[in-house]
Amino acid sequence: MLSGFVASRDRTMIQIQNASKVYAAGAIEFRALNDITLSVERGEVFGIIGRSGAGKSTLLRLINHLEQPTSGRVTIENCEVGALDSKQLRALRQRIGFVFQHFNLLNSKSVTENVRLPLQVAGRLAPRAQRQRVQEVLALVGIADQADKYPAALSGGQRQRVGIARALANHPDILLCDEATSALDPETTAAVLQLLLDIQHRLNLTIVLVTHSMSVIRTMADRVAVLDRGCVVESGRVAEVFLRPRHAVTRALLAESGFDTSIPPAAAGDSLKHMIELSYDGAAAAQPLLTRIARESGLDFSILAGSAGRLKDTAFGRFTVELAVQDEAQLKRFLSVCDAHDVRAELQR
Amino acid sequence: MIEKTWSDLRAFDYWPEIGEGTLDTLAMTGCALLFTVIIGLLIGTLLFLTSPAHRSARPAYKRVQVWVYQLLSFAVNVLRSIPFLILLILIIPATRAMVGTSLGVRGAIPPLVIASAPFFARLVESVFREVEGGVLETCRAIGATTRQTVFWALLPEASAPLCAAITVTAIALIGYSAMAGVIGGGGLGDLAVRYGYQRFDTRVMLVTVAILVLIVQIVQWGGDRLVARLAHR
Repeated sequence: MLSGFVASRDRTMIQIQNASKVYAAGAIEFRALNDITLSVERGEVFGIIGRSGAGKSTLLRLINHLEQPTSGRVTIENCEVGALDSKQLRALRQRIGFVFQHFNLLNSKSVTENVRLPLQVAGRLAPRAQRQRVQEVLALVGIADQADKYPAALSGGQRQRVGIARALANHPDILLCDEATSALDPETTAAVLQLLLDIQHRLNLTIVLVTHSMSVIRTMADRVAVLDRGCVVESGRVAEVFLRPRHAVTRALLAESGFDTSIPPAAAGDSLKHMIELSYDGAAAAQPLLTRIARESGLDFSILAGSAGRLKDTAFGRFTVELAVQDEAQLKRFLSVCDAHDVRAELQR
Repeated sequence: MIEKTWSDLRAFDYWPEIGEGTLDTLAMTGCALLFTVIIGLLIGTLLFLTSPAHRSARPAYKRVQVWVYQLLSFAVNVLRSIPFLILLILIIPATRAMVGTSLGVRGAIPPLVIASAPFFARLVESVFREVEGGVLETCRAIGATTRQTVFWALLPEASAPLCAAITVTAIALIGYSAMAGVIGGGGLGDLAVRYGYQRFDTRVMLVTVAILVLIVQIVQWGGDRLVARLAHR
């Protein structure tokens, strides 16, 4: 019992407990974050999604205390960030990479000098070793040939690669990404996300990323929290949230990214026609499920809407089907067949 | 007419004084500029780091910041609101205490520095504010100390606009140094006042002005070149 508890504690990398952030301007208070509790496990990619102004960036900045929570606490590897003195906090930040939306490169410094800055700040390596490390990370992000250029001479995608290289320079355990691809065009976005995934895999990084785009969550994240007006309104495995969104904001965000969850309009008011949403992911998705369900239940249905595809490395499917039955027993049989195949079936009406 | 001008110029025998005045002006301006830049950078950086946008979340730090900012800001405003000619006279005792005399090149330097350092400090503050754009946040995120932030990020990042600000200040100083001539400060201004104004010798006045124009042109040109070299845009 105890060992299980310890193991689960050790898997937790970042823990945010009851964190609130209140900005006070005179008598007017603005609650940017309201009682946020979430935890990020070691080696996972955790996404935070929400509209602009939802508090995503503030939440991300709580983790390395670029913003101090008004109340609540942040724990990283069992070490409470708020309790650190400024020297310890600097040491902690050196172990947490931060990737900015607008890259935040120093224009007066070359690519090499930009990436070297965190190494100089940490001061653990001799100048020679620093230069070597810079070359290593530049090679890792694929811009070793741009080392002597200045940021102004680089494209957006290349600049963000420099930003990522800089964040990786000090061998961080955690990478925080604040809308890292929002300033990039779709093609570059895909390449940068791929790079991040690749790096995360190779270095076993824990990544927390903030975005307003569901497609970023879809390609990158293992788990996701949906933020709305400073509150986490929904969180869980990405497949779970994608396939069975509960909150209106999540549905709206999904719809915007072409992932419509609304139910198609009803056909004629036939009481024995049922609208059912079937969803599945993981191992089940590899099977020819729909035809199998039809065959085993002996019932035909028509597909009204749906999609199938991949979320990071799990396959998924979700279909709204219309099923005509003669009695309740048939419906029950259909549902139990679905259940047997690990397909979630939700009766819409 | 032309012949008269020519003979006037041939009879113009103040070249040694002009030469000396030019050197004095350069010495005053250069020396004052050096101190202005050092003191102004210090005050400007402090103003920037303690300004309302950069207040610490820790109450104790924040109190110190507010206090430092208000003190510096007030002092800078006071010094900047006193016209230079009046400042020159006002601080004569302080000048004597600092350099032993209120006359000549040496006597001109303290008032020049006291007048231009606050001006330059405000320029530094606004240059930093302009250039900031995430530099401070980046430095905080990589765990840099304030010292590292200033010396490794803020100053390099601001080098081009700072160079432009130094150029502006240098030119203002050349003008001020001529004014210092009025109370016996030496240099071209002194020459222009004594010969050009008090002795009605327009030639000295014209030559002085021409040299000042030339110096300002050279300083501006050099400053612009340096700014272009420092800006990696």
